[in-house]
Amino acid sequence: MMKNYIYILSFFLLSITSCEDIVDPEELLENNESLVIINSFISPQNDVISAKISSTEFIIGQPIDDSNSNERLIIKNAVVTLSNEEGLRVNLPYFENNFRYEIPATNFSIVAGKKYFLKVLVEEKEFNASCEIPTKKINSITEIVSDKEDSNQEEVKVVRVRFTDIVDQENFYIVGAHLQRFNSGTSVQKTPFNFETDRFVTDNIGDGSIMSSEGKLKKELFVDTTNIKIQVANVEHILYKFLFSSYLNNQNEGSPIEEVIIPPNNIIGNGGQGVFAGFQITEKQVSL
Amino acid sequence: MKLFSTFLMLFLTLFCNAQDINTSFLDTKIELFKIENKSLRETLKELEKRSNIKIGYSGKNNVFKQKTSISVKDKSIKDILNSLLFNTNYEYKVLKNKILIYKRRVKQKIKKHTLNGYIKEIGSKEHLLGVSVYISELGIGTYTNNYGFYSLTIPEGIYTLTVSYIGYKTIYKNINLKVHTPLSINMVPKEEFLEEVVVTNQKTQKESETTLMGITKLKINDVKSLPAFLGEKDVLKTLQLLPGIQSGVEATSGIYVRGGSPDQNLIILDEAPVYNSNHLFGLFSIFNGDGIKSVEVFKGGFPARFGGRLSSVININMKDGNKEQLSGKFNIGLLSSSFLLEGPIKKEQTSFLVNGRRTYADLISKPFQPKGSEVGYFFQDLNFKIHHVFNDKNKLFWSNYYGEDNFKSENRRNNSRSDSKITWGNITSTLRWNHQFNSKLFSNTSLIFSNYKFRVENENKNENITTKFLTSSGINDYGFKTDFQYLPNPNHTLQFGVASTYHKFTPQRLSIKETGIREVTKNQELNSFENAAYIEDNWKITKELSASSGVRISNFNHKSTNYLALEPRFSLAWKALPAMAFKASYSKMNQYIHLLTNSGIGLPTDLWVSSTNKVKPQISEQIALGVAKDFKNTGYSFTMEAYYKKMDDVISYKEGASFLVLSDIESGKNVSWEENITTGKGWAYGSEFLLRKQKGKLTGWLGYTLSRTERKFNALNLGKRFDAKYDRRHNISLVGIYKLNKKMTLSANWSFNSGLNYTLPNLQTINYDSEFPIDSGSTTGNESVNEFTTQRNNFKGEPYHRLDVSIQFHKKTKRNNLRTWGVSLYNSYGNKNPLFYYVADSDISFTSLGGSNLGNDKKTLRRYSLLVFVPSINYTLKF
Repeated sequence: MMKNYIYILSFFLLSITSCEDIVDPEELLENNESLVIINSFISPQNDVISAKISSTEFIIGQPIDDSNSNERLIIKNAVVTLSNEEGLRVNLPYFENNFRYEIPATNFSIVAGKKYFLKVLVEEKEFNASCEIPTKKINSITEIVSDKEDSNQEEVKVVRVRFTDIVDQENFYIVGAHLQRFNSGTSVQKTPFNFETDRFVTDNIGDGSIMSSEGKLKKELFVDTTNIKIQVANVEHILYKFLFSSYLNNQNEGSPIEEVIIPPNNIIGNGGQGVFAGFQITEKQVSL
Repeated sequence: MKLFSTFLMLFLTLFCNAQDINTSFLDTKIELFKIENKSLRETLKELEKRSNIKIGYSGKNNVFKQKTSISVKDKSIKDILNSLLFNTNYEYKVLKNKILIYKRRVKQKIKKHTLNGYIKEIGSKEHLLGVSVYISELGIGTYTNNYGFYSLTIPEGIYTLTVSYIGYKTIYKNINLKVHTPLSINMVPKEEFLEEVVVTNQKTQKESETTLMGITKLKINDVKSLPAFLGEKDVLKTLQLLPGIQSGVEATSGIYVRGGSPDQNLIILDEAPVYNSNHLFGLFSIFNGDGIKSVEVFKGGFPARFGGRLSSVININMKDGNKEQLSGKFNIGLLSSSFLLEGPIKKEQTSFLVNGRRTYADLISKPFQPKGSEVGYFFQDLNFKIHHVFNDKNKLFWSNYYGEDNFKSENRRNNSRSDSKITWGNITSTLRWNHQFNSKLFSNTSLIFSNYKFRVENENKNENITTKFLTSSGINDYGFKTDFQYLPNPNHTLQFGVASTYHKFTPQRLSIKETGIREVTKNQELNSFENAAYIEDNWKITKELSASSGVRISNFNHKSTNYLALEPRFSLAWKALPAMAFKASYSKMNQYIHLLTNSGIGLPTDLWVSSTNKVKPQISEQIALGVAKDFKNTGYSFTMEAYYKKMDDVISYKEGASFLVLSDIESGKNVSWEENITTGKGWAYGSEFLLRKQKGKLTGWLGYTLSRTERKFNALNLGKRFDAKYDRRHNISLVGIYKLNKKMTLSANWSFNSGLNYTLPNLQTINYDSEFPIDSGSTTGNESVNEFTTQRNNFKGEPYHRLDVSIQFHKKTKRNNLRTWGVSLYNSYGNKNPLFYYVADSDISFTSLGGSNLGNDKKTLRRYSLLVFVPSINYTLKF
């Protein structure tokens, strides 16, 4: 709805004379900064515990179609250590196939309500972070699936996801759903519904309220499968902010009104940036 | 408490002494009083007979036998007595209902009397403010206040009174001041379009003669004569051309005064605060100039009568309406049309004014829109005012403003529909009572209402599910204010008063209805009281030295939280040389209400909120030093001011914590404003230079500002100090209006500003979204990398400059109406000024307007420029 509003503005502005030019960034934009980016999101429901560590590069002049960003930016020689409140430590080895430092969840237990600590060593630089797994996850999910013609006059499937807010605490939720297509063996092809800002939910409207989010997916994709997995995660506030800022930065690229958001950071250590956070996830399988 | 009791005592003393002996019968007019060659005693007896007022005599003197002649028409008893006793040793006074004529004591102490009254425009009876009333023999004078009232207490004697005001013929009047004399004067405007052509001995309020600093008065004629973007005359955009006042992004009406943010400007329309002064995302202000009488801006050295904002006061007064005859004008522009109608309801006693404007893009585009998918936008304004004069001492004003922006969208599909409506706007209403207690004490009491409301309605129907979303936010102010002006003698102008406002904030009112779920409602309200009392004195200590000192006590109460603040104000002016003064000022300000905004351009998502126990009031202290020089009789003046301003507890959103995400307004339901703001500090310092020419065929100014503005918030930019977004180092404006002849006015303005600060992504790393098990499903954005930055305002934009030119053709029609065609060129040399920059990570540009290397496979930094050479035309008919 608000997009129409922006289109009106854009139309008005463009109808007046305007133009666009390429500008030399030299001396205008900071280009010497280099950071170590560390991101790790852990949950008792995950099969693996993982962390991804990368470097940064100056944005201007980089390729637009960038299929080699992982090879170029992933830091492969870091020493990654995870520990719990009892002092139990485990090293996360690097895996070339998915560019992650990871271990199976069976090797180290992640428990609701507990604190965890991450230590990363990159070329003699030390970075530290801690997180706390939310104590509760939501109990049940209900859904309503319907058909609709969207604003682009395309037929879409709409899934409305409802759940009850966890009471007596401030909560931040991430909501999603995807169409599952089972290929040979165990591999699953996922086609996500687009929840737009409905992906991000808080209990600001009232403690214990029924939360409701709506996602859409093109109807034509429901040809050979009708299996939908619905997911609702109760996440730490910093993780909610990280995902929200990432979403908004993607949405608002080039917007004259909304500037880029500086992502949150809980990595301690000079030149470190990123988020180490916990969450609990609830999933529901639906077949139409 | 002591200060309060002193203030109360002063108030009571003044009030109790306020009642004059009834001398009103002296104003009774005698139709024709004609006496030829009779003794003065006989003449006075005739006057006694004609007026029915007993005249007594003290002492005997041959003078009464002296022969006299008089022939006057429609003159008051007072005027006749003054004429008869002129050049005698006798004078008169009123004793109850009698007049006593007595011999003037030869060695008596020189008596002082008060000359007071109102200065009005002949024809319309519009009160004129800031008119110079000057006694050349004594070298002293004063200026009329906002309601056209003046008062001068001077020794009795025979003087020449000079009343002058730019655009009006100067009046010279001989007076024989023997008693307190009410004297109201009607000024005659100079012939249309020549009002500033004739260079006479006009006396305007000279820069070197005012004690206060940081004040600029804008002439409404300048607003009407300067080039207008799309033909829309705009008061706020004209203000942006003054030093110390900076604009926001291209073409917007956002005002940034001495490093302050837009919410730190107190914009007052006929005493009512205006919360949203913009239309259409800040492209136009709500003040179109037609119905406006005066505009003054205070940037520093604030008088104690103003408070509640840190950075500026923009005081706008509407016209009162023509009391003599019906008149008006209408204006047709490319974007909107407006009309003004004013006239008497009861001649010379009650007048009205109506001023309206509406855009018509929605009406024009409607037939061209596809059925079932319609969008429309318009804005409209309406000003309405009534002015009633009960008598010379009591006047009533009722001013109202209503303005609204309205966006509507309707989508109909086979089995679904989606209707949206977004409205936002202001309503203000002020009821004012002017009362003149006596010749020295004047008061204005106001009841004030101000409202700002933003409302979103959205209804979606999809098969069996209907969702209704309704959210609104806003503020309602209910205020009472009374101001007194006491003028004991020409050396002191004492002002004092109290103000109280009940603020009713609604940060969020929310209703969500969905088939199958119980309705969710949320109603957040913040109610608070803001009170203030002030006293200030403009004191002419010696001929060279003057001071304006005052204090304001402000108090803010929200639930159990109470803030009390003492705000001292002080200005000093030393006239070191004739027509040259050095000035200094200090002022402390408190601001209890805050605007949460991402843009500062008046987006509907802007939210006004109250100070609470968690959100402290904003505080600023400002010192300024300056020099003012007038160049005798040339109309040129020069001012220079250097300032340093420190701000505490300024407010901002935390990173990414916008109250409402613009792309999806419903996301506002997820955010609690109080948890998502951060407070910090601000610094602003700089120097302003203004060379102004106010007389002659060519008028205008050259302004230059050198400034710096910084902010520091614990929760922003990793707690490090950073340059504010609108920190522009250099600002130059050159403005000229040339009234070539009666038929043509040429005008131009050139402005240069250093670039704005932007926050742009300068880094990229791999995309981490896939690390979280719930996929966003979004198709927007680059999937392989994340673009970001860690520094706020990390990009300094390129300088901005443009030249606007305009020509106006005026013609009197056969029916004696005045017709004006105006042609304007905005950004006439087509400079590509930056509106915004972005990093293009696609081979299609954001606006699809190209750039020289479409198809480039590397990321580029792009500048988007808007309004490169915009011509416009408008037509005005004044009748």
